[in-house]
Amino acid sequence: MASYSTYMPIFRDRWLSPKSYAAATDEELMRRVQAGETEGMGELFRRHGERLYRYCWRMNQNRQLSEDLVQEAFARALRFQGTFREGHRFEPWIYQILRNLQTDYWRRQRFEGDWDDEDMAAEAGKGLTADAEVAKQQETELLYAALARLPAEKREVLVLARFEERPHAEIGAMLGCGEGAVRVRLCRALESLRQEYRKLLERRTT
Amino acid sequence: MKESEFCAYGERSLPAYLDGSLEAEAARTFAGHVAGCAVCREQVKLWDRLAALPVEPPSETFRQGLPGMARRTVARPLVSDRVAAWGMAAMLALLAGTGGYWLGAREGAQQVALVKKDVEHLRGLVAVGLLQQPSAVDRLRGVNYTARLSAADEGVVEALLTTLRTDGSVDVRLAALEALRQYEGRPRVRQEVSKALRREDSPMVQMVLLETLAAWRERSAEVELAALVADEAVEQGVRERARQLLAQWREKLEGLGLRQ
Repeated sequence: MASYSTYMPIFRDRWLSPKSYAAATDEELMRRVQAGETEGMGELFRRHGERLYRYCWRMNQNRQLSEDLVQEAFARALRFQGTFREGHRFEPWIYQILRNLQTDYWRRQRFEGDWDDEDMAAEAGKGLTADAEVAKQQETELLYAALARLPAEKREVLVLARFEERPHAEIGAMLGCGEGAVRVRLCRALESLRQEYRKLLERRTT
Repeated sequence: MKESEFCAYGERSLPAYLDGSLEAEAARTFAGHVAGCAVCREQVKLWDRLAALPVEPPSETFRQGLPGMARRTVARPLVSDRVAAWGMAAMLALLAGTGGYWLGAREGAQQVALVKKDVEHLRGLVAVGLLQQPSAVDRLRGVNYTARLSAADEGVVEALLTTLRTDGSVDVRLAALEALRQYEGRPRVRQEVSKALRREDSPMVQMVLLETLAAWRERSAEVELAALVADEAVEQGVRERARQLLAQWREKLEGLGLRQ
């Protein structure tokens, strides 16, 4: 288990990626982190940070929140490095940490009455395409708004399958279900998206 | 899903069609179906459009990597505007005071680090000040404020431990415990959290204490756990969880051949 002094340098020192890290696999880096070379986490962040951010952003469409969640996920990965097991892959592990953080965040916000899907849907996609053509911008906003209206589980399966382009088997492993179940969920999510999109489109035209 | 808009064929084949895993013949047949089925056609269209959706890029600080992650908290700031304004004014005064020297100094990076440290110290003071307020809401804010510190000093950690030990509000004690979780590497924190179990009388806090100790695998808390199990005044569910945890730990030790 990481001691305080083991993980604190992360917040003090500059994070460099020595050349020796470039050739190492994620899992080798994790082993080095576990052996006390906490700087290895900086290289892991460099490799995965942005992709995790994009996943998060598509889930909540909020830059600050997504950045915070990803950074917190890496801080937790460092704090709970002992739970990373030999023979497992780093990426699903860090995703799981991030997903847990995200779920906790939503649960807390809902509990505090601070999170409003309607608000998120209303804000969704705004300001993204300020310079793009108006029609395209509207379509983008509408599609993001429809996405934001889906329950988190449906949104997640779409984000993982479409934006992340992950194979169904991998998504199944992440969500704790079989490949067949992923396909069913995906299809239902797409159908819900279609219905939400239509509703928004109708509302806009009227 | 409306009955009229449901497409069973689509539900069966669409995901495989979209990810290209349908066999050539099946894919051709399904493509023919898509052309004639409004539901499937719209879904395929949406699927294509989704790929083109832009993402707001992350900030420069984020891109620079982990140095920028000065432990920003996930929770929204809970400090009231008044307190935040006071803290901000104090920080600005401090920055202005050191600014002249700072700007003139050649070794800028070192000065920035010093100023940051001072600001951090000041934040710590604000947090401790809040923890001593008579209002539970203010104390709760104080606890949440500590989570924003990159590295809380001894004073802040002690204030949190005192809050956990003595605060009259269950909510504040729970929040203090949550904030203390990040200091699991400090032996004193682990010890005090174990001890808190003995004093705590709220079943809710007792449960969270148990879960914290379980997550930390704090086996030195065995005595406290045993006391809890034996105490008939303690809520049944709490005793059961303590019993479970104790059994788990003992089983593990036995498995390792460390206990007869």
